[in-house]
Amino acid sequence: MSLLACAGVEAAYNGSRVLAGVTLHVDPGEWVALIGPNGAGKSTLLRVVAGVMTPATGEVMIGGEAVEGMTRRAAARRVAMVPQTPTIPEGMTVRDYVLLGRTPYISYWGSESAEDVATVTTLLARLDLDQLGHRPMQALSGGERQRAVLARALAQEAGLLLLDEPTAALDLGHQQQVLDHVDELRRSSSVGVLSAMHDLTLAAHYADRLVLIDRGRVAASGTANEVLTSEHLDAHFGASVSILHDADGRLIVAPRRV
Amino acid sequence: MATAPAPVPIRRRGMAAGVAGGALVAAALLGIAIGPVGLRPAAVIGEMADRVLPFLAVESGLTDRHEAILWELRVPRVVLAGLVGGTLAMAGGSYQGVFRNPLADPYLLGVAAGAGLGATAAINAGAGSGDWILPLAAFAGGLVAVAATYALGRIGGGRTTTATLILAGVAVASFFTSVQIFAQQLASNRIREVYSWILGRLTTVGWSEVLVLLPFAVVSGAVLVAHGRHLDVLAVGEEEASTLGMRAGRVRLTIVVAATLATAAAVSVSGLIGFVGIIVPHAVRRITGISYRAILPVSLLAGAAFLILADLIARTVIAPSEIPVGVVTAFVGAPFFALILARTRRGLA
Repeated sequence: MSLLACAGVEAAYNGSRVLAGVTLHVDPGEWVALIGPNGAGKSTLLRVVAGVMTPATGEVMIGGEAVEGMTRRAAARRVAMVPQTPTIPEGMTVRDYVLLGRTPYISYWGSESAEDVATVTTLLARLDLDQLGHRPMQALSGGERQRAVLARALAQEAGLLLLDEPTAALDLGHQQQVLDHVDELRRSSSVGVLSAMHDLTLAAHYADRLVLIDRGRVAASGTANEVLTSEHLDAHFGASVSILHDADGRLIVAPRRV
Repeated sequence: MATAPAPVPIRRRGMAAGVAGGALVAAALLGIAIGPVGLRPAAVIGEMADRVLPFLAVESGLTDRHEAILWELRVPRVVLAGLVGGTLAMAGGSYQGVFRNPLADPYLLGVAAGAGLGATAAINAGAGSGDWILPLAAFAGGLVAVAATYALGRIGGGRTTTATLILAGVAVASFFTSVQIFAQQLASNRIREVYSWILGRLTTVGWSEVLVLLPFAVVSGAVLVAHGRHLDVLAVGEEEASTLGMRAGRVRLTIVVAATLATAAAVSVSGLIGFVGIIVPHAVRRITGISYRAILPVSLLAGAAFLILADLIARTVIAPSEIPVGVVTAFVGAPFFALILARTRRGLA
């Protein structure tokens, strides 16, 4: 059984259709990258999967259960989301911010248990943030901040991790660092990953499968070699590219000036 | 590798609560002792110990007349000021958290004006000061006003910014105030009663106002303090809070209703006293840090102390006459508000 199964998902904002029947699946431990031009519907799909937006038609099943029927608490224990531009509360420390990820495990009138605090301590160490726990979030560099946001999502201990452009604001080294953390995690604890990504070469290197979305539909899906063809990129991105392979046979998408 | 969480903020929170509690006790003693008839603080403490602790028999040396002044005038007034101040400060802090807006305040959101209209309607219909129907009518008015402000603030954008919310609050407050003045003029036989109430006074004889406010203050205060953690989660915004497993919309509604009930009850007994809800939580936040789990309870104590002192000033500066306590809070609050406005200007666009 798939970890995540979307079937014929349609969604609209104020009457204009953004998703026009998306079907895809993610298995435990698998990394699926959503690629596609701006406005293709990648972020909307992630919001629908996270359960914060209700699809007009179609079904989103996580672990065989419909997201729509879950309580917010139940959904947040199964799906964690790293938003594209997370809201960083001014003055909140890294530790308190990561602790927010334990919200689905805290009862309505309760507060964080020693176990919640221990989980966060472990995560901070795992993401090399243990020296920064008492710092305010604003004081972190871009890469550190993104690791803290990732740590908050991991604190939810969900089986499915959604990443919306997780590396958009980072330099190359920090992009790799964050993606390596995600990769290590999904290999060690068989978390499924669904990530919207703009950098096609990074998507090709990290994800097991790519799903190309354009105008709310799945235009192509499969391995990097199957999806990242110059024909697809021309048709759906309007981009001129050369598809190269390095010495190890890994795919590189290189923009080409016409 | 398990390094202990930094203990400093926790200690600071405890310290802040201690300082606020100490300030409250000191303010209450001053408020009780100072007045047209001076009562020695030692005698006040002795008399209160005698009355409150049944196993103690303290001879305070107060005459019967002084005892009457203490128990029928000074103590009820100080308790009322404390309850109103604490309630307004906590409601203000809660509004700031739930709207994620540093300038949200019971007055700027129009809640107080709406509550004023509700209370005026009730007074016109025959309700007297200290009547339990007054807070309920004020609550209804306040709820309508906060809903109107929020709806107006969202028009066009979908997302409220500090500026749109405050402008909407100004519009709603002006509207409700004009209707309130109209209603007040209609019932000219009740105008003195309404007018003395609207200026924001804590004049009270005996305990009836305290008894009306107390249940509302306790219930809404308990609800708000219990939602401190929820306000901390809401700091990341409604959608992210919802992906973290919170029913953000419902939590927001609960907090707004509780804060509005607190404001309305306070307004219904004391009239319009501005700026407490904005000065106190801001000052508290600078010491406790940004967690509402600390801000709300400490604001309750600090707000009580603040209004007791403001009331003491109001009734002593031009003794034997009094100035409305709302004038004192506005005199301190308006410059403070300007300061906050200057500091948050970046967030206004």
